[in-house]
Amino acid sequence: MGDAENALPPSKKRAAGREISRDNPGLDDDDDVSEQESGTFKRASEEVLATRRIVKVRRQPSAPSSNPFAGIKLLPTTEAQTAGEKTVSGDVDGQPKISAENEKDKDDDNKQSEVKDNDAEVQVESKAEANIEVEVNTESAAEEKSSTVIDEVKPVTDNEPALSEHKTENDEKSGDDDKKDEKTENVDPSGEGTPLSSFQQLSSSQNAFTNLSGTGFSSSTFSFGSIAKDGSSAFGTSSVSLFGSKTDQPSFGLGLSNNGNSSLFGTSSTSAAVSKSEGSGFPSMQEVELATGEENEEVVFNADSALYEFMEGGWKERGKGELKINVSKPDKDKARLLMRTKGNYRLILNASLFPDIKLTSMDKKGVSFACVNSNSEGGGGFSTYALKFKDPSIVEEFRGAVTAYKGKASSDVNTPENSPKATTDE
Amino acid sequence: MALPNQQTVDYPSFKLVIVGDGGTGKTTFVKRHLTGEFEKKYEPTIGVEVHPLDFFTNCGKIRFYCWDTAGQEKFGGLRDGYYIHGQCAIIMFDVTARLTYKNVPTWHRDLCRVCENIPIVLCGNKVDVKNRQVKAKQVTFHRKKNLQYYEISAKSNYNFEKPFLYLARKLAGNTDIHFVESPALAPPEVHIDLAAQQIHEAELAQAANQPLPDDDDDTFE
Repeated sequence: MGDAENALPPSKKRAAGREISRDNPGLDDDDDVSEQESGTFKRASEEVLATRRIVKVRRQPSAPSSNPFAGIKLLPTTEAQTAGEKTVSGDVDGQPKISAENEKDKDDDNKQSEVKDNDAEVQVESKAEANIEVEVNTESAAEEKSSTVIDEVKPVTDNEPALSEHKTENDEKSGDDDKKDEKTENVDPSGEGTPLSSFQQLSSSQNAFTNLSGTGFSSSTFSFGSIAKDGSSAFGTSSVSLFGSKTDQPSFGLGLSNNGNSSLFGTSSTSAAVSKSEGSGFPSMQEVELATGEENEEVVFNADSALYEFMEGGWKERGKGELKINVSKPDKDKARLLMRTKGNYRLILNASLFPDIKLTSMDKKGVSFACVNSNSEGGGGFSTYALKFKDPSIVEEFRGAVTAYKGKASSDVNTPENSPKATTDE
Repeated sequence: MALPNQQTVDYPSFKLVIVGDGGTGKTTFVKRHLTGEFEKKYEPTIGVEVHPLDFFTNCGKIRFYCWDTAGQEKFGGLRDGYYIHGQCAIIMFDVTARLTYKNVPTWHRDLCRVCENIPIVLCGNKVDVKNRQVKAKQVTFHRKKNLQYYEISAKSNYNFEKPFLYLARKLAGNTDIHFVESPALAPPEVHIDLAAQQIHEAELAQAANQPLPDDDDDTFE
């Protein structure tokens, strides 16, 4: 196998062959691939609907991914485009043809029948076949097979001779494969004119490809990425989504992701893995009522401020935003300091006022005090905080409000600032 | 895309990759969101640091796992190995250092190689600095690549939530998403332990002697 790879012309860009060879356990890869493929395909089919007539067809006879991909890739350069077109057309009116073919195949050679009949297993089989036939790269073999499958499926009339030819060609011209790859790439972005189905085929084929390359998280995906990134936004996701499907965590956003584009595009591109997660995950993100926790409170003081916490001998900023003093409506004796960061509304201060709270002036615009910030990660303990306001007068207002609402326990209430300002605040 | 040791959450979470040249403020930006601190010290990030960052939106809570990657090449670690499974990204540059903008295409290319079709925000950081080297007009890369661009300042918090908001909207496919106030449960009653308070008095005194950080008076601008 190594020889075969080496024999490939240097032009072979797709790392596919190399990678597979690297991972050498081709069988394992293929198995994985088949499973993944089936999964991806199902999802894709769900989403894509009518366009995916093709997909449906594939489901029945053969793995969809293998079909489009191989069809595009394997054919010699001249044929490549035509082949792509063929696939499309075949897809449109594909069902009857395929069924007919299936019958035919059954009658025909065992090999072909196998290939056609088993959808998910196509690759495995193909691999086995490859081993039988010649020792080529597992990849190339798989591709060939898939291509052959496609070819068979689509042109009903000239099945078998064509197949054999293609196979031989492919074996001999692995270099051509590369060229084909390039072509497919080129075709994709330019192919806006072509129906959506073709696009999806391409994308799905990419899936297939990644699958073929198997474990290759890295290079296979990368190569594709490099291809797809500029021109075709839709395709890219597929590879990623694959991974997403592997890991439990669904990748919600993938489909919708393309920066400029609408979610429509995304959904179509999502094809495989993401669809499910999307359905369950983000689209379900609907308006929710989020309680602020302040429903039964009255704001008796508020001002823009900056919050600092004294830690390890220095002041650390905790954020800037609106500071509020809230008084509980049911229990007028309960008041708290509340502050959220401007912009992201993150809660940074949430502390009860208590009778013994002491306010210490800091510079002109600041005031420091100790409190238990229930929001702090340290949890529970006293910590020293400081607030800085825009203006010294606001500091005085704050003092007044705190003094007025900190509770009755300490009765040293009559500082000059407190009473009038508190009332104005109310 | 949770890491093995990451706690999973029952609300949507996304892997956010943050890239850009060294010293552009990626870590400071993340830290600003995490703790509110503005870190002036420059300590290059080694490899990557991952921080979960939660936001409350009108559509519920979401979490970004922020992969704050090393900007300096020599500390790059796995480099684009960190991008795998990235679901959204921030590319940061420093508007006071032209080179950091010139390198944006490289970051973008590397990123897109791995994460082909994810929403990306381009952020020009440090716009609070008076003499910029990269003017807003000169930033055009995002148009070609269809990225979102924000001028931000981790120091003044200018636009500092916008990148996350944009990504959240993109990821959800919902342009109506906005951040809402995070809920504040009633804090526990404070029962003062005299001894504890005594100890704390000392800290209070010490704290009182330390001036608050000077923000160049741009705190409220």
